[in-house]
Amino acid sequence: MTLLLPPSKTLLTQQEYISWITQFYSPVVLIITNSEVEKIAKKNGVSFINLLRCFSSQKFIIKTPELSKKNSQTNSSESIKQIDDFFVRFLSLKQAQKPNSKKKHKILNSIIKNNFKSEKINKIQGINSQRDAINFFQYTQNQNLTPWFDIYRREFFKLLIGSEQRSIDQPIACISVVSSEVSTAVEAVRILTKQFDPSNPPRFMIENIMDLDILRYYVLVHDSSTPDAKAKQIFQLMKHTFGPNSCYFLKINSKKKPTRKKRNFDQFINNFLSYNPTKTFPQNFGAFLTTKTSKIFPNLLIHFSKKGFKNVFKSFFGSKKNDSQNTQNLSQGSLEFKMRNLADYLFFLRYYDKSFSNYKYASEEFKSSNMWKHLGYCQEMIILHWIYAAYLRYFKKKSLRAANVYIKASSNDSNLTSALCLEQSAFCFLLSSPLYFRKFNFYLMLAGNKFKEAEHRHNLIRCFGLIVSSLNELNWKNIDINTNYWIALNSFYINDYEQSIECFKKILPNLSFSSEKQTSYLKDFTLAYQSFSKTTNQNELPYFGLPKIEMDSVKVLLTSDHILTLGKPNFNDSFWESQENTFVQQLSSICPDIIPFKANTDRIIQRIHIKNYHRIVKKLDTRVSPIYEPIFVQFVIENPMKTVLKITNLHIVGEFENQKQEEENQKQEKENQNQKENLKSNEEQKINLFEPQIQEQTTSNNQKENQGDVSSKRELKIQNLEEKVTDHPLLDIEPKKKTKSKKKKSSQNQNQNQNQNQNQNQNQNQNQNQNQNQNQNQNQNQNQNFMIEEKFLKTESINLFLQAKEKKIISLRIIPERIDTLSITGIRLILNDSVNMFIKFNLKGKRLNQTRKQKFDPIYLPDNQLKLKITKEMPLLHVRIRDFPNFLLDNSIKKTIIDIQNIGKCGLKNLFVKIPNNNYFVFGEKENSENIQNIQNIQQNEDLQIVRIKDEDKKQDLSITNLKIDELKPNESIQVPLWINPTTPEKFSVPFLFCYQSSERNIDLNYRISKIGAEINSTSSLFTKTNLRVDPNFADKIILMVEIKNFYHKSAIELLQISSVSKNLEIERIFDFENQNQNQNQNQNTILQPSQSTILYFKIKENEKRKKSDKENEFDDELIISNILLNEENKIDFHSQFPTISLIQKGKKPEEVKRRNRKERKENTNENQKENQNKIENKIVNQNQNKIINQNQNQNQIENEIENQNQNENKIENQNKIENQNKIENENEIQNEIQSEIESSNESDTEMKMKMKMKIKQKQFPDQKIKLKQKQNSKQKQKIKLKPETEIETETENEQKDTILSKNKLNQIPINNETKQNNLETKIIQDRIQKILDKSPNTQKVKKMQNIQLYRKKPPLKQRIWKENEIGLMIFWKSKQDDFIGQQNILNLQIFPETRLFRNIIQKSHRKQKLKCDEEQLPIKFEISSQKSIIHDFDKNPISQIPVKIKLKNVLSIPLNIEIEIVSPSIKSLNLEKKQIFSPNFFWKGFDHFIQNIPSKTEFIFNVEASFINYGVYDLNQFKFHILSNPKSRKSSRKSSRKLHSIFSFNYPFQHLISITKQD
Amino acid sequence: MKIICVGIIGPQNNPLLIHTDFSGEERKNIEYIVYTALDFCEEKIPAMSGNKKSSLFESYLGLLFPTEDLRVYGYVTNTHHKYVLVLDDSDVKDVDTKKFFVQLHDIFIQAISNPFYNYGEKIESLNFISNLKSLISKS
Repeated sequence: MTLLLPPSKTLLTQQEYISWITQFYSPVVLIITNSEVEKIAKKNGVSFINLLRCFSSQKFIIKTPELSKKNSQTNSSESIKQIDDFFVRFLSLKQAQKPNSKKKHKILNSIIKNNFKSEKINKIQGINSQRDAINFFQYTQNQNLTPWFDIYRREFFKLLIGSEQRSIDQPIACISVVSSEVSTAVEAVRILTKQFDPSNPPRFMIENIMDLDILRYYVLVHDSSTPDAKAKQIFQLMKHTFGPNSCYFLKINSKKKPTRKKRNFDQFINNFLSYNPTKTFPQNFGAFLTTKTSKIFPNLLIHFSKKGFKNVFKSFFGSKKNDSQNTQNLSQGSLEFKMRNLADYLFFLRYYDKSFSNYKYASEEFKSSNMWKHLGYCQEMIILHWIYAAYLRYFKKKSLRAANVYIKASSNDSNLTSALCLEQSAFCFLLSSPLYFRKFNFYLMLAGNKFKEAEHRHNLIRCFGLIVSSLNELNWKNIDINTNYWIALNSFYINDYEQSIECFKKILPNLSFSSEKQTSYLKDFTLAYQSFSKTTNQNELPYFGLPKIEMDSVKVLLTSDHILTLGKPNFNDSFWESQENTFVQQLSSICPDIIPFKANTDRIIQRIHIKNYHRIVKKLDTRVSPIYEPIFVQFVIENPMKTVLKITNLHIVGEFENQKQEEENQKQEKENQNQKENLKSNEEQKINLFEPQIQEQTTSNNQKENQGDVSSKRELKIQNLEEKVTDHPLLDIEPKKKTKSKKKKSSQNQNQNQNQNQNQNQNQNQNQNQNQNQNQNQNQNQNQNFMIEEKFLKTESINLFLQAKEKKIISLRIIPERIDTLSITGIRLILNDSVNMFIKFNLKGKRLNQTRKQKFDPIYLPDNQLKLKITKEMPLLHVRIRDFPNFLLDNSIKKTIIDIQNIGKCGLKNLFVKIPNNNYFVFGEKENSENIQNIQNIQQNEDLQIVRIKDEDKKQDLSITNLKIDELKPNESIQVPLWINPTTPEKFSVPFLFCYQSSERNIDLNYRISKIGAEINSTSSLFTKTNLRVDPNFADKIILMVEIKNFYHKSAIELLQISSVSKNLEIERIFDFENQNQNQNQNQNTILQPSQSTILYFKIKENEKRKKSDKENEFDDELIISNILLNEENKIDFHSQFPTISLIQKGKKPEEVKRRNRKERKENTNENQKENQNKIENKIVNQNQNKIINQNQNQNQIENEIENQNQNENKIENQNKIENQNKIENENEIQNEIQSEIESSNESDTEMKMKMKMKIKQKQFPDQKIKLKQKQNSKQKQKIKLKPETEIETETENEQKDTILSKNKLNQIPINNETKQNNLETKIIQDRIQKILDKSPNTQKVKKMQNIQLYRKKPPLKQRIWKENEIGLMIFWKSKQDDFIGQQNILNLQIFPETRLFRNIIQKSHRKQKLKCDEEQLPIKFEISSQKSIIHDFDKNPISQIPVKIKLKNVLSIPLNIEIEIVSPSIKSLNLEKKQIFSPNFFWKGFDHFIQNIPSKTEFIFNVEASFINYGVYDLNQFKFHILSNPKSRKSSRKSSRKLHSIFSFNYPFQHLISITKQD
Repeated sequence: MKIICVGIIGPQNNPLLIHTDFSGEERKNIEYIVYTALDFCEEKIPAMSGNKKSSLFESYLGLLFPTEDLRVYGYVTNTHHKYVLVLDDSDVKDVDTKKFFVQLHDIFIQAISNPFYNYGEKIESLNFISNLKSLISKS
């Protein structure tokens, strides 16, 4: 019996501990009553013994000898000891009976169950550290931690009474009580004597071998309500019989009967104390105890005092030895028992030391005589002493021992006992130092398990709750889940469903074990939830992680946010946003109706003080969506468990802001509503819902419209089915409505018509009902989407199964039907058919990181995604691209059709399209409708066409196209052809943006944008290269050489047609001189097998009509197209098939305007001002002078032209008109001037050409002639200076000056000195060329061929503007296998190379250095000299090396850094025999790349060797020159020539032919 | 030396790895034992570091506590990672357990040196677990 250890109240003071001991180890007084006494007592509602218990604690004064002093000889020195709280245990005979153990357990069980007050686990704070423990104790300082344990212990001790070994429970006195209501006094005495008869003692006293010689008292109880005469008589007799000292008279119930019969004990006590002021009893009561003790102890005490403690011991010890043989038959009188009893009495009187020693001796005695039970008792008492001592000194350390004792005690049969013991031991660990809080948890768990077995659920929850709360933040997952599960389960059994669900919520998303177990957990959870929902009104669970919703993934997409994708374009959201913004910005300049309002919030926030940002962001960032248009909410849903989750009725929840307020207003009226009506309507509703529901048209206007939409869309769908259509989600909106009932529609219509509160309320109720009914429906048809209709809001609902660990992206629609602010709050769903859940969207905006505070605490912008402004109806564009190809050949033409349809509810206007990458796309029919009209057949020959380009087309920004739709009404659609013509072989993504406005004004939503992202993958098809050669003598004969190679590896490509585009030039085919059978071989040439190449020759000539035409303005905007069919059999009229002109004219990527140009523009404007002033003067000025001036001036103008082409174009036209006459007059003189200049200077070709160009310009801008006279003079002087430098005179003057063109051409032709010496080699070539020309239809004599540089002009900013002498080529082709029809543009072969750029740069660099140079010259002069013809035998020596001398002269007055680069030969002739003339099949030995600084006006000569490997005629022109920035003008630290960047690069136009022939 | 469980516990007393062949209820009980062992680790650690005479930080904590059929040994690293070793009740020399702990320390350092391991998270490296298994099989 070890249940005497520290009390459950964990921090007992010494005093408390002692009082606890004294209470439980107090003397027992046996009370024996009869029924009459009980009757009297019951008038007060209690039994007599309970009545007495009120007085069980008394102040108690005893006179004892001073026992503490050893060997005190003085008899008289009796000291007075006062015991303040002396307890007496009153025991009735009934209680003294020993119950059997089963009964005991039952009693104890019920006690614990009844006395336990359960606590919510979430209120318990866990213990994780020393500090927690201290806090815990502080928190529970004044509370008993385990009060049930105290009760349990008390009851346990009560039940112990009567066990044989516990002598301390042996009554020290017996009080016999008799009522005065007995018949006679004698009878009373008789009863009293019978009640406790030592010769016939109660059974338990015999069984337990108790001392029968105890004090006896007799009490007569008298009810004061009855006369007391008889009682006194009885009392007299009692005194007489039992002696006056042992008889007492107790008068109770002196007060009148209490009004209420049944009262609780506390009240009774109050009554009793206040209304029973019987003076006799309390005094006597105390007295009899005094007498008792004085009677019990005298002998012993006297004995002590006389002989002293040791003597007593000795006498006892000695006597024990003597009597040892007789002690076999133990009786109450034997020495051990005496000893023990003495110890007991000493204990009562709190002479603990002495009682301890007595117990010790007694225990030894019992041990030796094998009386184990008694030994046990003695040892128990000894331990009690120990503990008492330990408590006083080092209690805390002993608590571990106590814990161990408890643990040992826990191995009890009874689960309850062991549970309680384990619990106590847990607390002992908590009390220990160091603190074992984990052991505390561990033993709590053990205790919990025991409680589980004992089915004490409350206690189990309490124990586990403590563990859970202390494990909270650690990762002991298994333990945590286990404990939580048991709490959940047991909470469910004790009907605490809320707590149960709370615990399930914790564990369900985190389960890690097998799927079977998880399923069972989930089942338990649903069970708990079902019970929970029955008991509470609030039956929606908030989000706890099951199913898992990724909040970051929540996106609200408007219908307009949907981007149709073709292929896999790599665009992200920010790209689209920026595209959208720039588009709208651009549009706002074109179309004033469109107001860009979407401000970039980030920027604004930066500017505004952060305090205000909430307001501002809210204002700015709320998105707008039209009414009746679906809004898509997208999120990722995940099943964290290993079992299948069934989710039904998953739908979005949204609220209207104003609706809330209205509803609140209506609430009061609602209450007044007639409930009966609602009920009726509900019933009707139900009936209707079970009938099959078919969507039918109703009479309402709105409905009609809706229906109209649906039907028309369906028709459209049918149409579309014929073709490949990429599905757009918008099309599915309407047909999916399924669960609409007739009844409801009519009710809705009523509401709309009447707009009365009553009806609205009705409607709401109906809707609610309908939701319920829909749930029913859903159970029937699962895995289908529904539209749930709430008031003003349709939401899509879906049912789905989530497999184990499955993730799904869910996109749900809601359709607002009210103009208001809609906020999307979250989603609702039903889990496993029973658990209703509401998951609130909790979104964060961008994290702020500006201020210090923001950096430290994460502060987020509010996310306005979920708030939407619903505006009135708007048009909605649905765009599809039919037959959009994902794979194309480079330069092929593909026609697609853009299907534009307005599926909104409102008209549409101002439709614009933006395709940023616009040089790949052309809108429009075969030809732009305007252009088509202007196609004219000039000649009967259809090969020549003239096309007019409209002015507005020129100016337009080609990236934006106005589709020019007046109004597109709802459900109308248009088709716009789109031509795709990729010009580079690459994989690219194209964004299409469509912007449009509502035909009705809408402030909230000014414009809408639809987006399509497309991906095109184009591979290379044809490779083309052109070369141009001009006969210097017959300048109108320019031979164009086009080399075409098939790079498409899959299929052969057939060339079909070549067309030229130019203002005034046309082409004509020349057939290869070697091919005798033209027609036969022609086709062979046109079909190119993979990687086969061919060369075609054309002659460029001026159009005859143009020659004649004098009115320049007439054909200024016209283009001539000449078509040459390469294959007569496959004659295709391409211009009637394709928008050819648009394809030619299509824009390029706009380039940035350079700063330099801006500056010059400024200068120019200044000049223009001056011009105006000096206009009159200019007319007087000598023309010759003017021209020179204009040269300078025009330089600037030309520069400006690059930027301002479009602007100038009009100007030019106007000017032309005015100046036509002047021009004609001036012509001759100008030409003369040019000629003279050519003669006078031996300038490079490029320079010359440039000059010529300027001259032409000059004619066009006769008005803008101005320059300071001084400057003119200086220029003239310079020119004169230059003259001496000219080395050789020009050859002949060209007399063919019929047209400007011919003149120009002529003038370009560089004058080569060496052409004078007609060598053998050149003759051969000339002959050959002549042959070619002879065979061609327009054969003319060509003296020389001169190479003219060709290059692609830089793309214009916007639309191409054709200049004179520009020619574009189009090659139409078809791939044999894939049926690609293509068009290869070789655009803008400019006959006159442009060197303006170079001039500018040189000029500028000079300006910087304040140096002057001749602008009319190329910076260098280049000469190459070598043997012209070599006879070599390659059989003997495979390489022939020829020394070449290269002379470079810097003609500028500044030093130049020149880099010479060898350009690798690009034309590889297939047949060397035939085309060896063009084969540069040789290589340089000695240098391939060098950089040289050449000082001003100096020559640099270097020698290299050219190596040849085969016979033939070689052109040595393989050099490219780069002028690098002057090192002297830079910092000297930059030594590395590599770092010098090239200012200007050019090819030096020369021809140096070397022929290598075999001997003989 | 029959190893029943190896536990690695982080400085915040959060378990990084509990390696045992048991599962289900038995595993849970073993986790409890490891969990409870932390009390004893904490009890022993300050006592050791408080001893000024021994400047060396003794990592090996020795026998933490015996249960009826198990013995629990402890080891603490400089970074206050604790290793708990649960053995069966057979006699084991301290040298062996100490050696085991040192080897465990080595492979643990390898595991957390992995740049892809986030410090303080549970160790899920397969390499580490295979190392640990071989270590257990050796001893």
